[in-house]
Amino acid sequence: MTGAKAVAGIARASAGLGSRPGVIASHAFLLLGAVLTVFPFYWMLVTSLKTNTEAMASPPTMWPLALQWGNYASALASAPFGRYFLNTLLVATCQVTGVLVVASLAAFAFARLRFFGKEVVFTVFLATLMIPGEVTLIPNFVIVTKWLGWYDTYQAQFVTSLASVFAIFLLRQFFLQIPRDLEDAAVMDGCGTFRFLWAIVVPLSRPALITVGLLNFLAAWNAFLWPLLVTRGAAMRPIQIGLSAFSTEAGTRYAELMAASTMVILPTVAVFLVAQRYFIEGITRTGLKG
Amino acid sequence: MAISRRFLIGRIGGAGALGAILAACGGEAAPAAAPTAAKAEPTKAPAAPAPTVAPQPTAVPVAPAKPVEVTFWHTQTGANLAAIDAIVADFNKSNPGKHTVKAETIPGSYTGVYQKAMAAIQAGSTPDVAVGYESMAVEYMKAKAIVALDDYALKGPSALSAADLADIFPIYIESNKYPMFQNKMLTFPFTKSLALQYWNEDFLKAAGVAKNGQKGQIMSFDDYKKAVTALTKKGADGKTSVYGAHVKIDTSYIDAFIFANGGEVLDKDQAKVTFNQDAGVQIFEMWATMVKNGEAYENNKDSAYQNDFGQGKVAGFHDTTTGRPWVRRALTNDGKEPERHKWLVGMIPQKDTAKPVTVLFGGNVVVFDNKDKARPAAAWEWVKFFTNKDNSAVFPIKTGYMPMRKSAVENPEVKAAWEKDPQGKQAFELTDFTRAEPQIPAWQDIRTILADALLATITGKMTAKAALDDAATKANKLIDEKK
Repeated sequence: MTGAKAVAGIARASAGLGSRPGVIASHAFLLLGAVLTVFPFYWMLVTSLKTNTEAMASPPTMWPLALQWGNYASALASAPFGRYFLNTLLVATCQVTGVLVVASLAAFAFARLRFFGKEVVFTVFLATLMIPGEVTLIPNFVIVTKWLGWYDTYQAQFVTSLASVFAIFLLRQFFLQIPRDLEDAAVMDGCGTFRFLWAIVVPLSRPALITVGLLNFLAAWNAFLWPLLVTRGAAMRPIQIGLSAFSTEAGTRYAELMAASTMVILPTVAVFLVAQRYFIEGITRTGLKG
Repeated sequence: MAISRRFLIGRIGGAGALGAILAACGGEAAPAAAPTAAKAEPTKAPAAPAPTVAPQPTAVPVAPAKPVEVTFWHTQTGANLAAIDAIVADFNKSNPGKHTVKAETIPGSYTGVYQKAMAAIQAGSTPDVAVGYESMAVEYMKAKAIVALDDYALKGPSALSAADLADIFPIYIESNKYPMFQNKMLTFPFTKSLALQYWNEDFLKAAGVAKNGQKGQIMSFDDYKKAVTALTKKGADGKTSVYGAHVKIDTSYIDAFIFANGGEVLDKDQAKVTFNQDAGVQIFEMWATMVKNGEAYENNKDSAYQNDFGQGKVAGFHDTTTGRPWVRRALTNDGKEPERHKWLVGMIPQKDTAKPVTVLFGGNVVVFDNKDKARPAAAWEWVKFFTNKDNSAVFPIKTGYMPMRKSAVENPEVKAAWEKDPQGKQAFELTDFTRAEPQIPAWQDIRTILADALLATITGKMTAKAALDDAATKANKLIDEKK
């Protein structure tokens, strides 16, 4: 499309909008939603460039009086963020990989295999979603640190997340939609159960798998309490614990906290932007909604 | 693999039962994970409350026979962490028992340490020393997870000397004894601070307020009310431009003001609350009236009132002495400008200005009962080192906490620091006029109830008497439940 055609298209679109109040209203509503979504990111960014005094000023300033780029250096010097970053990346990668493997196998069994008590077992699995995480905290701690001896290790940070019932449920719903005819055809061609899963089900379920991966990546990236319980120091700890270095009993250094948060959040934003199409598709096709 | 129904039901039932038992958190402390040395005789509880001077060494709990790596959980970060690490390094180099300390930061709050410690108690992997508040120590003691420090601090080969005990302000010893556990010393002071009044000195002078709360200039409640009125500035439209006071919604300060007004928050048996009696009602009414008249306000979230003070929007507020560095930051725009106005710290107003009183609060340390008796003994060596004459003077000036020994005033580093932080010295000089808050198990929950009552009062939702009576009913119920 040439520039002239594009301009004409926009003009037509604008003219059309002007004649349709409903469209304008819906666009205004969407714009409001976009502003509400973007504003926290904007606020984080501008706060990261203020002094701590200005960050707490009342009424607040919408733009820093003087840009404090030094907050970023100060934030980086406050804790070993490089180490925290690598630790988090490693744990998140292991968690995502582990959950995808475990949940795919379990979901496939619940969706495609026939075995005695399948529905009962699946219902018991779903029932565990109603148990608050706080209740399982101490039993998990005892199992991981006392029985397995994994205190202050990487595996301790993700092992309890590997059997994700929500991931199993989401993938099962997706796997159920794959036509039985495909399976029959594959079996007729000599395809075994595992090969059917690997060669046919997994490729067809890419949106759901990416959704599960993304949700678990975000969960691992934002994990705080569990890693705090099972780690000893900076050598193993994730980035969210690093962020708490800016908060003390007497107060919080918001400017440096926001500077560190800006740096910390970049990978998750990047992952989401790259995978958002699959994320939306995965959620919509499994009939789930937030 | 075929899985039988019986196997499955058995596993699920077993796992559920196990989870329920472990999650209950109420069991006996599990055995320590550390290897055990020669088993010692159990330590006997002292028959009487600990004396205020050190007795001659008597029964030795257990002398650590071999070097121990002492694990120490704390919450300090940033510059405070560097200050702790320096003391840890000194200890690891110099202590005669060749013990070492491995410090672990649980950043953020003491609650994180508590959550981790409670999980560790179940797993039998407690640290040797951890920071915590009194209410947490009570929970640890109920779980039989910590040792009484009387046998280490007041008796035995490493007991504090008579000179040490004379040097430490008595409140720091007395406030760590727990009446509900036969007055045993369950904790030792670590990061302490006082509830005091901050004033804008320039505003006080401009308003002609003579007293400032410092020694010899303690304000009565009438003085305080008049000062707040005089310091409040309003525009032509009647709107307040400078508040005379800020109301902190925090039970430690409610306690402090009730004590200062001659009241108590608990009866002598610690069985019923008394904060709804006259002394408490008068304090709530005072604050509610100030707020109603536009002389006081509340802006507690993230201690935003400190920033207001820095910007000259409020003339005075009560707060912890640990807030000094934050106030200084607010006054200097993070150190980029000179201080906007002069300021000082003094005592909160008093009913009896000859016998002032406020609250001492902050973190303590507990020593866990790792069954290898060499471990608590080595842990005490670390606590003693951390709180010796030099360290207990220098650590506070690097962090904003209060020195626990009178001799701190003679320390050259402290003197130099107080040149730049005269408010630190002003606060230190009021240490003798402090007392502790209640230590009963229900108090942690009662704190929230009482703070809510104050908020309901100053926002006009309830009268002071009604709010306090309602809070007292709820609090007494909690005390009964947690006996």
